[in-house]
Amino acid sequence: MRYSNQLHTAARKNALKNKKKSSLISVVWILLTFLVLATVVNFSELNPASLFGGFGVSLYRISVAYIIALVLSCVIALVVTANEKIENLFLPVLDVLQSFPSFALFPVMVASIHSSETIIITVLVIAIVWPILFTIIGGIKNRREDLEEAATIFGAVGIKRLIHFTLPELAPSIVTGSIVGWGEAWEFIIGAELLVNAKLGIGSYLGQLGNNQQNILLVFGILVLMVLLFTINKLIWLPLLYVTTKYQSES
Amino acid sequence: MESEYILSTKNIDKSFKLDSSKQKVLDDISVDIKPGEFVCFVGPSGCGKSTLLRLISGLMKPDSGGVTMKPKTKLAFVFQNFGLFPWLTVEQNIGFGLKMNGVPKETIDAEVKKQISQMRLQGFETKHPKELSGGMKQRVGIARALSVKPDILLLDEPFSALDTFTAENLRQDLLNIWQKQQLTVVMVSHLVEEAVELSDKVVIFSAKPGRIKKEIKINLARSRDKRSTQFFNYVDEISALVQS
Repeated sequence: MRYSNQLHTAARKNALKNKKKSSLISVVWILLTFLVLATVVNFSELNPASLFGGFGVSLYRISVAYIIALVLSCVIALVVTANEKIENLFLPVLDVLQSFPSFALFPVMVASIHSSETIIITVLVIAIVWPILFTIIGGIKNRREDLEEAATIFGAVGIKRLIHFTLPELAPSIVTGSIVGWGEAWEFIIGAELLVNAKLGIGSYLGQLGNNQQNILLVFGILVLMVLLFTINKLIWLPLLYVTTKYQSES
Repeated sequence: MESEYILSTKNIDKSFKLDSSKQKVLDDISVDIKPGEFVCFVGPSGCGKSTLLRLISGLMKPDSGGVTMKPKTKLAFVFQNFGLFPWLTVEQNIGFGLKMNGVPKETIDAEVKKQISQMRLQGFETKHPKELSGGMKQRVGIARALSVKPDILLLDEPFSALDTFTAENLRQDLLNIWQKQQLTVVMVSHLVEEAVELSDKVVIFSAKPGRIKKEIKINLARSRDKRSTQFFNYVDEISALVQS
């Protein structure tokens, strides 16, 4: 018993030490990021307003598309897995649709949607929705039967069940799918902004640098984008993944 | 005329789909349970005793037959593998049922505090299930079930995932709670000694399909001496029925 308590205390101390270490690394990371970005932008001819403004506009577009895709994914996943018959009918259809290339729809969108903003967001929603949808479906298929039964027995029904049971239960799947979805989104937004000739956006700005043969600046621009994406991952997604999986791993 | 039973199952049949065929797991199950009775279902693996508990709780529906209970009877369930929500703390797990039933926060807090004290969980209120031992997890599982003030407590092999000493302590705690709160308890067990130690009545099942072989009343005074000849006689009789 005493030995077990000592082990428990040691584990706690270790966890606290790791947490402190992780916080310190995050602070150093932010400072380094800003230092690197300021240096690169200052010593190059990169236009800070176009670069960071473009990044901000693209981030906004991805955020809007992400919220739409997240809601869509949750609704579709819960409906499709509601019962075995619906699942058998719709899962193969979703599987085929998933493999359909989003940019193949681009000419149809250009012909039918006249707002370039809407086209970009639509392309992004199509790109983001699949990884989130399929990880949520995976999470639903692997959920613990006893937890489902406990939720039912103790009266979790309707919207209360969704908020207090289903969403927390699926949180690790949602976060994992979201990380993949955001990765896809950054790939797609560059192409989409270039194709619709958007005035603002990181893709448009990088495209302009490429068109003007400013290749060194283009490489710097891409490097800045990479650093910003790493920072978002480090400061938002990894902590979220840690929090959602921390207490979920027991079976 | 009002029934003397708080819970009755009548001629319950239940089958499960197994690939293309149907496997019957329960056949013509009728059991009557009086208020305040401690009843154990005992039988070999696959005899459908856990399925019967789920049919009683309403988690499953029988193919035929039915479950009747006194009006306004409240049920709670204790799971073999605890069934605790890993993202909630000990106190949030205990208060989950009350929260889902719209009970005011002050009432939930008071009840959670009472259960934490009763189940000796002080100091673990803000821990998550992952940070608890098996015994502590099951204490939380029982506290969660008791917090909704059930008339009938259903337990599905609640001590089978625990070590011998922890299981014995929890059995004594359960007995004390049952006696103090005059609960009706229906428990599934695969341990004959445990069933004889705890129950007023042991229902013995045969397997494939599960049928009731015999009901045996345990006429031993409490607290029971597990080394007495009468205790061993009951254990031998039930063990012989389970194995035959």
